[in-house]
Amino acid sequence: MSTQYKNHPAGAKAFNKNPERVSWHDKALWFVREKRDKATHGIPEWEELREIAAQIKAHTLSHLDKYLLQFEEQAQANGIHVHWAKDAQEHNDIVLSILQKHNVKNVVKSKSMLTEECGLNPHLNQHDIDVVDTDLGERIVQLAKEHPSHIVLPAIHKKKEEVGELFHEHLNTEKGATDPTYLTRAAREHLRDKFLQADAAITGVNFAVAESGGFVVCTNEGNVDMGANLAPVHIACMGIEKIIPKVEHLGVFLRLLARSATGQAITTYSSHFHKPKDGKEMHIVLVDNGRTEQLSRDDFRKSLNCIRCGACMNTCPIYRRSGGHSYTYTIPGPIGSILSPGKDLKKHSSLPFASTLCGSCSDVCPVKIDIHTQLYKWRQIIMEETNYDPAKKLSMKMVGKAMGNPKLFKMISKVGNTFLKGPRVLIYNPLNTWGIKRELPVPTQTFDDWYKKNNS
Amino acid sequence: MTAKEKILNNIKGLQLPSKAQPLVPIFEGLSDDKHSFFLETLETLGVEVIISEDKAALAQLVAERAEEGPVYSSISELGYTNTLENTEMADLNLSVIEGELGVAENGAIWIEGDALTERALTAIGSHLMIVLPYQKVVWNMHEAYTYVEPRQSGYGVFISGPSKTADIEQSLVKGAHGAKSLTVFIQK
Repeated sequence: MSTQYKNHPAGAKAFNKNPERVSWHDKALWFVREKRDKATHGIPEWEELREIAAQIKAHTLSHLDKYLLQFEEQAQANGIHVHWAKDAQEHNDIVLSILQKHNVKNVVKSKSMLTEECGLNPHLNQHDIDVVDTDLGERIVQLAKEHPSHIVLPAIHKKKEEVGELFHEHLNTEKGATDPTYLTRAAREHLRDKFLQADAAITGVNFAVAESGGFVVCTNEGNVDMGANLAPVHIACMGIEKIIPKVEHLGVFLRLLARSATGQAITTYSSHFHKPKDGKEMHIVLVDNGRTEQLSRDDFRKSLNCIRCGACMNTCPIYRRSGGHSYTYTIPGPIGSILSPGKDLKKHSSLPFASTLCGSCSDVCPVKIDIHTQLYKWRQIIMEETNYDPAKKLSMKMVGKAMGNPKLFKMISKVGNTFLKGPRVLIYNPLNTWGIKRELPVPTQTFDDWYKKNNS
Repeated sequence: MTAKEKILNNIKGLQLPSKAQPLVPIFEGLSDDKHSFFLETLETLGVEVIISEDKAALAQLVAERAEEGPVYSSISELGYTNTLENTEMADLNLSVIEGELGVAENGAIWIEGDALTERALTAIGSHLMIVLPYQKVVWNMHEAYTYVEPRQSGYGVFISGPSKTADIEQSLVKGAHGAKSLTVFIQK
């Protein structure tokens, strides 16, 4: 599943056509980042928790086969059906076959980036099964026929006026109504009917515990507790990296997750499922879809630590100013940009370049993924193995030559200085992207002159 | 080869070096007074808190609320219905359920879902009331999991506040899918 743009620059350019919206989007996400900071500063052991979480993930990944088997055994003992899927197609087929077996027509789904990744909704729709996304943000993008632009805040790119229009069209709210409380209540009533009519519920998984054979799903809205508990069949879909060894590890991750995501101490509902209710069915689908391949890459293995909090998006200066739909992968932002090249190097070759490499993503990551280092490493591979941006390749080669030749470098820097002092049109024209919407500093001396003067 | 074999073989084939499992300490509390921290946290979450030493106070409170609409209660002494069909559940104005453990750092309260007639009762009523004994409060999630055994109840949930969403322009709205309000009745 991907957005309509062929690469990140194209998507970013489209988003930036409306500077006011860019600034609004930027501020909305920075506000969430600031809430995150406040929440984490209240926990003296925060850094220690991050380190422990990273170690638990590293340990689990180094014994992933063992923990997956233990999880399967324990879950089956609890009466849960366990399925394995090598790729998206197998995942979709498994879910479809469970639904068909029960003659399901109406499905309620709570937020699951995995089912987005696998393109589950269109697959089920093709087989005449109606799927309703029940997370409010996801319902908004579903009605708008879009995809989530953020993994925690799926409709962060939408203005309330746009939501009002959508709801007027689909939920019969008053025309022109934009009040968030009014619109949310309308969605509540609309989705209550869906919950009560559903033949099956599909949810994601935040953490699956090997020793106890159960799983935890976190929401603020309560849609998981409504959907999964009312429907006769509950299917939970998870990537194999969501396994943690012990129940006590939930304490670590639940303390980190919501604080990193939205600045809340914990989500409103942290729902633990271990056994189906009598007379009902519970299924878990364990999905690989490229994860074992990522596990094989020494430089990128750590990306599988991700607990999908979205903190790296909220802090990223590029994400905030280009919007989630500018990325060519289901999961946008810095984490998506290190997960996606491993899936399709060519298709996602622009994503590792959608970064300033400032490292803020790595600093806020609750499981200590070295995101900016991995972005840099993907860049090396992309330039080696693909034909990404030949102009950049050529200019970098030339810069390399100039930097390696003192005489040439001196000459160029002198010419450059003259240029910056020269007629404005030479710098501030559409051909020079560095001069768009900003004033370049005019140096009073070259670096070489400065160095000679200050190093004596 | 089945998908399971393929996945497991892929992982085994990597022969990744083993990384040690860390010990998880049960960290200290965040202030000198666990209970006042818990109550303050509930307040910031928009929870109505009632503390009472009088056992009759709960019955009286629920009786008052029963005038607004149908009540479910998992506490049989209160005398309200505890068997329900799906459609009846959807009409509930208030669910009164018991909390097993409160967590001071985040205001979350552990609910044993299978102690309820239906699991959906944690979310479906318009309003939710959780009855929690005063002594049953711990500092943090690490401590909580030394008591809570999620496997014992097929479904259990930490609830911290009324259901909420901020999916429309980051405006906080209470009452998304679950309860529109949460009252915590703390019995001393």
